[in-house]
Amino acid sequence: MANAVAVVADELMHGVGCISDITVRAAADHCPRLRQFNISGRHTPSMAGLTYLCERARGLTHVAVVSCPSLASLALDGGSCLRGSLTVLTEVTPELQAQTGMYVGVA
Amino acid sequence: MASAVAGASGTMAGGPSPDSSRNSCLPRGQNGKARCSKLLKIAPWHDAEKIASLALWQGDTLGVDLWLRVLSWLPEGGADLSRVMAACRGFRVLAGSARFWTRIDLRRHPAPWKLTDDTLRVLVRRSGGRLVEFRVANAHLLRTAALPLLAELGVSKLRALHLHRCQNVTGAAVDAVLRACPPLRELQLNWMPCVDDEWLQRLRNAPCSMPSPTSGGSPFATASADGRARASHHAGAGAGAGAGAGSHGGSFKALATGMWVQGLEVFSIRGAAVNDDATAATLARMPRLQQLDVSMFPCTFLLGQAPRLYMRRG
Repeated sequence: MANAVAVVADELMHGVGCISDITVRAAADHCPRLRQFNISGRHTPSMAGLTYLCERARGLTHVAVVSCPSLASLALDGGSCLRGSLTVLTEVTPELQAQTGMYVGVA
Repeated sequence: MASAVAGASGTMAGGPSPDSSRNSCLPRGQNGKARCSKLLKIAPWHDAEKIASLALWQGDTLGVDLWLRVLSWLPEGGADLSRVMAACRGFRVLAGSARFWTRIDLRRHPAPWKLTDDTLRVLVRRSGGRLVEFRVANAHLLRTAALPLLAELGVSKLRALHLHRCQNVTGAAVDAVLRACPPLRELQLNWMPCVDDEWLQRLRNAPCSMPSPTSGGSPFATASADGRARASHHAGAGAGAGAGAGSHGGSFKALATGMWVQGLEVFSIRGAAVNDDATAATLARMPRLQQLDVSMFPCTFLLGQAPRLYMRRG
């Protein structure tokens, strides 16, 4: 692992941009077949936008909202307020880290 | 597996013997055509004649079809096939056949920082324009990722284009492939600096419907126009990669470019510095989208297998 490449602070390298409810609603309006949606790390999407998305995209099964402060309330009920069959990912557990290989390369 | 195959190559390198040639799967004949006929049934679209022309294979007891079957168990487009190609001249032709190189997935490469454009050019050239998947991650040395060559060879079968944290790959290289009208279902450009609002605007502005030259235009007229567009484009894919939409042929190319956007099912621009307006307008062009990733989180959770993420040593 001596050749491991340090990849940190990507936000500082690429900028951040602004993704808010406008994008969420656009996905709801124009992508009716949407099944998986990942908006983790974006700070501005609101609960109203996500609710709208769940109402319009009936095939939605997975939503990831990790590190979304405006959607912190979802962590309390696990997304059951949106739809019963929806899997909402709100935080990164150690099991998930191992599963996704997030820390591969750490000494 | 590779060592077993390489070890078995000694049988072929020893040269044909009369007994073994009788047992070979290749049909005997005076001319080469007769020998190729059976091979063409085995692998109708790859370089069967080239394999059959090797006298080395005619004396092999296993036969080409069995070797093709054995090699098909190796990971497609992987390092094992490259090792097999290094065994001998016969294996170089056989394992280097385009049928084994339609998928290039280097996301789990043990040393992606060593990947160079020349390496990728070799892999892309082996595909012979029949590439279905192209996935590269964490390759910081890449400037073009052989994408212009890919566009030149042909992208008529390309279904998935996945570049992850290849920070030095230019937007022009990516555009070269996208302009070549690939039938993409999956487009993932994660942590790529070239993906920004301007890039999304180019994606969005690609026309997706045929402006009727006369009246309202029938669906058949549109379909034939599409066919002409694709045909004219593929005829000059290499030269037309940077062409604009000024001429009549250019407008056909632009038309063909826009067709694939509507067919996208997976779209991921994770880590892109994009804003609402550009993203929302682009999503309006993707009615078949099933997976969308616009996150800023450094790890994927939903969209398939995650590339390795290298963190700073503690």
